[in-house]
Amino acid sequence: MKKFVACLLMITLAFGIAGCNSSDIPEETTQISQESAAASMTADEWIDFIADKVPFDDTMTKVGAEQAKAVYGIYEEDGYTGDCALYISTMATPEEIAVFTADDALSLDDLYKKIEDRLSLQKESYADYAPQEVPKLESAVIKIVGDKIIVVVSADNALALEIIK
Amino acid sequence: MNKSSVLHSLCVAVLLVLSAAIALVLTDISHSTQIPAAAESLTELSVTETEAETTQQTTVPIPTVEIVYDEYETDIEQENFNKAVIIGNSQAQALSNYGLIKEADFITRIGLSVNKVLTASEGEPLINELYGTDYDKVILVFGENELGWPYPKNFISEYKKVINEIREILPDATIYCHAVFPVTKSHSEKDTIGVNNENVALFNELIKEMCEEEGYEFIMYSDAFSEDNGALPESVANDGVHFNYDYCKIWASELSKVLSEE
Repeated sequence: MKKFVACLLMITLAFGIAGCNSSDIPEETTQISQESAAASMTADEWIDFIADKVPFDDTMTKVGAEQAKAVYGIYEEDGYTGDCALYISTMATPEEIAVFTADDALSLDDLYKKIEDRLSLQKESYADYAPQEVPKLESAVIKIVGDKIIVVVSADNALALEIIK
Repeated sequence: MNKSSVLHSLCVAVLLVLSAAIALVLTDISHSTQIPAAAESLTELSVTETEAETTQQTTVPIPTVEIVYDEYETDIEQENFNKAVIIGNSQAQALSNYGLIKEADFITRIGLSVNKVLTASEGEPLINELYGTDYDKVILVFGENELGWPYPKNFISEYKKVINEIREILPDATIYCHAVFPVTKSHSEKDTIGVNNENVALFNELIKEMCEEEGYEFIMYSDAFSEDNGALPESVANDGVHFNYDYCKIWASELSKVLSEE
């Protein structure tokens, strides 16, 4: 019996030692906790986070959720009540940051289609009006994080993509 | 130490090594199942990862939007926009996007000019959006994109075609033609394609003349948009043309007052 108890203690000790030696755990735990924190961010927190880190050529203004829906062609009859937010430009450039949360009325796929329509119309408009702005639309970031879909059209879309990751 | 003790110690050592190995394997397995699960929440739908274009423009950090022009009226009487439609270019679209005028409807496009209202390269012409409506106020915001046209009178003849069509659809509506807003002094001076304040003044004379002849209402902007030199204040438009939220608010307020006078 004593021998059995001694062995159990050894095994417990060995697990403890093995755990302490695993130096990569804290880093991965941090990564996972960052991802779960990102998944719990509100639309408003997302657009502020991106606006703080990504450069824009235009003056950007945060507008309300109702305007976010109006600009992206989401109408009352769609029945959408998801959390959403938008930073919009003066129209001198197509720059914007938008975040929409899927709900029972509009799934991520539905929202993705709305975003595609919006970016397509913007490309068509700016191709004539300010063709130098079109590359910003062509490299626009569209990314899903949890139940949210994030759109960024900025002066540095590569950086936007990096910080969302 | 007898033979039995040595054997016992050896057994314990082997057990210790085995336990450590098992623990390490289990730890690795648990991590390799957690990370992709967490990563699944970061599904990438469609991202073109081309390098962002290098731009000659100065990158401006997002400024805090505050109403700093307290001397100008910014009250917007929404009820004055009842049954009103605003048709026009990117400046009108900014007014729409900022959500400053809730009561009016907007028919706007980036880069819209008068010669693109009645026709469409794809789909329906914009003018068709007026069919089946009962607007009694039509506010037209055109001219900025036409400033570079070689013959300004062509702008007026195209403008008249648009208004005639609107009158066919909405015979009882009052037509308001908005003046072309000035650009900033720096933009005007470096201009090479006609988007300068000399042309703004010329176009506004032509629009005003058309309104007087045809019985339309002409809406002139206030002094807020025109400094002593006739230019838009430098601080309100990054590109010298499209003014910021603060100025759109002043504009919306001015429009609501114009409509209340009718």
